[in-house]
Amino acid sequence: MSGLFRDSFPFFKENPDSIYFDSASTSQKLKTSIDAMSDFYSKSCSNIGRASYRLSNAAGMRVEEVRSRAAEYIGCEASDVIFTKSATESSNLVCRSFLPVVLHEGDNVLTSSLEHNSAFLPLKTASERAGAHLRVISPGKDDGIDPDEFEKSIDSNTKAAVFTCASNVSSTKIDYTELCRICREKGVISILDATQLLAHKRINVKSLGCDFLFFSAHKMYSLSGCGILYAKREHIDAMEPLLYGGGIVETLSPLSIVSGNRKFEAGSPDVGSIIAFGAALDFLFENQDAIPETERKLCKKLREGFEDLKDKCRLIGKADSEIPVASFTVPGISDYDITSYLGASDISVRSGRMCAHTLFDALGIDGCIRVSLGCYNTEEEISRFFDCLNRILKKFSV
Amino acid sequence: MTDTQDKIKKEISGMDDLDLYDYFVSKAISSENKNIRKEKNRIEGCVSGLWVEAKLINNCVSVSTDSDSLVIKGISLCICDIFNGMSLEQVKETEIDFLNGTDLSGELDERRRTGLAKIKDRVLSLSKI
Repeated sequence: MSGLFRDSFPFFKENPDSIYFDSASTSQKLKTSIDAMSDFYSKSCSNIGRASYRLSNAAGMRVEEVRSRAAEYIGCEASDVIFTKSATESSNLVCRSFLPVVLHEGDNVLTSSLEHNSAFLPLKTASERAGAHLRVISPGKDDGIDPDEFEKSIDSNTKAAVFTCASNVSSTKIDYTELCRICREKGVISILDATQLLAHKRINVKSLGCDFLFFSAHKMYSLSGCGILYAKREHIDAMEPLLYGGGIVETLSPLSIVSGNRKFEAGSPDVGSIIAFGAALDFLFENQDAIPETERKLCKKLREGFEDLKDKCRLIGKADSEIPVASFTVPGISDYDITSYLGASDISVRSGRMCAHTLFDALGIDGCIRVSLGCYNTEEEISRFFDCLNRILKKFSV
Repeated sequence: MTDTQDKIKKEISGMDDLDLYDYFVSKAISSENKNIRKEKNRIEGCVSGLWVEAKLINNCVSVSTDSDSLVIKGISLCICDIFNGMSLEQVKETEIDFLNGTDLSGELDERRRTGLAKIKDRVLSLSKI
């Protein structure tokens, strides 16, 4: 199968007939990212920030280059970027280290039922610890976040809001720009989950005016082990580290730790994963127009296919999302049965609750089947998927 | 009493994963609905929704099953066929292995494998009554 970017991903050479439609869970990995990690560990392996020999200095500089590139990708300063191990860790860092500073008993925090457990649970836990109330907005009629409902849910005691830039389930576009504007206007701290969005689209955190934003490398064509947290400078200064340990100590007695973003990076970082992410960022920068253009065509084909099946499949969301995701159910047929048959045809899709339990509770369904694409997928693959799905539906007499 | 499991193994021998799914789905579709979807019969931890009702009748096991998934229902019906008519001691000594070596052995995820394994636990819990 041909595709503009396919050759950049070794997985497809090894699995030429396999259809991978689970990029929202983890993306396939660029050869350049894999090679970057492999080269680092085989030729230049060193820790960073501890020793002063050539290898260590060189590794440290490469990590800082990636930090700068990541900052450039989201439109901020390198000093605003914190490396973590994952988006989940980034989310927990904000909720464990920042929210206790601003959240007190009687306050409330706002979120939506579309949130991934990695965004929802840290917030829920933080609000419970503070004796604050958690307000959860139900999905709008289009299975998205209604900005009017969002605004109405804010009062003088609302201190923070966590919301996604793109749902990992619903294919309704999230107007995160408007949600950020509402937060700024109302003086509410905004914490954005950009984990699903940034492989498909760049954003600018300064233009958005958000307070925090987190994402992870492994959904952006790079390897696991590297997460990013963007935080406004004044928040970085106000936050205590989540982890204490090596690399952040200035003096031990009395304890004085480094200032700025580095204070959140105790312990040896996953240098290889960070360097690998640099290679992925290069790819995303080089193709920042070509990727959305390719994915627009894929989204169109996906939407058309589900439109043909609208009497048999119920789509979650109204299919205008900025990311190529489509989640659906077939009334009366188990998601697992459908994905099993798809899997037997070497089509990998996910079924279940997608770590978005709050959404499924709100929708009153047990789970769904999710198709989530990357830039390497092709229209031919989408055709094959729908051919297979139609056969399965016929088998189950749908 | 391993005859039933041997028979199942023979029936599914050589089947690829598509044929296996068809086999289990057909078994599920053609099975009698025993109305056992009560909370006390639910197997915890199985993502597909699995219910198992086990009884002892004249010291012989009688076990029924149901599931939201036809594939899982078909597999669990096979497990029930194997156990039905056995004594508890025979159930304890019987290893369910008809999926070993088939294309499905790597396809079932851990939670579903765990859920299916609990069918035996549910039957053996009759010894505590």
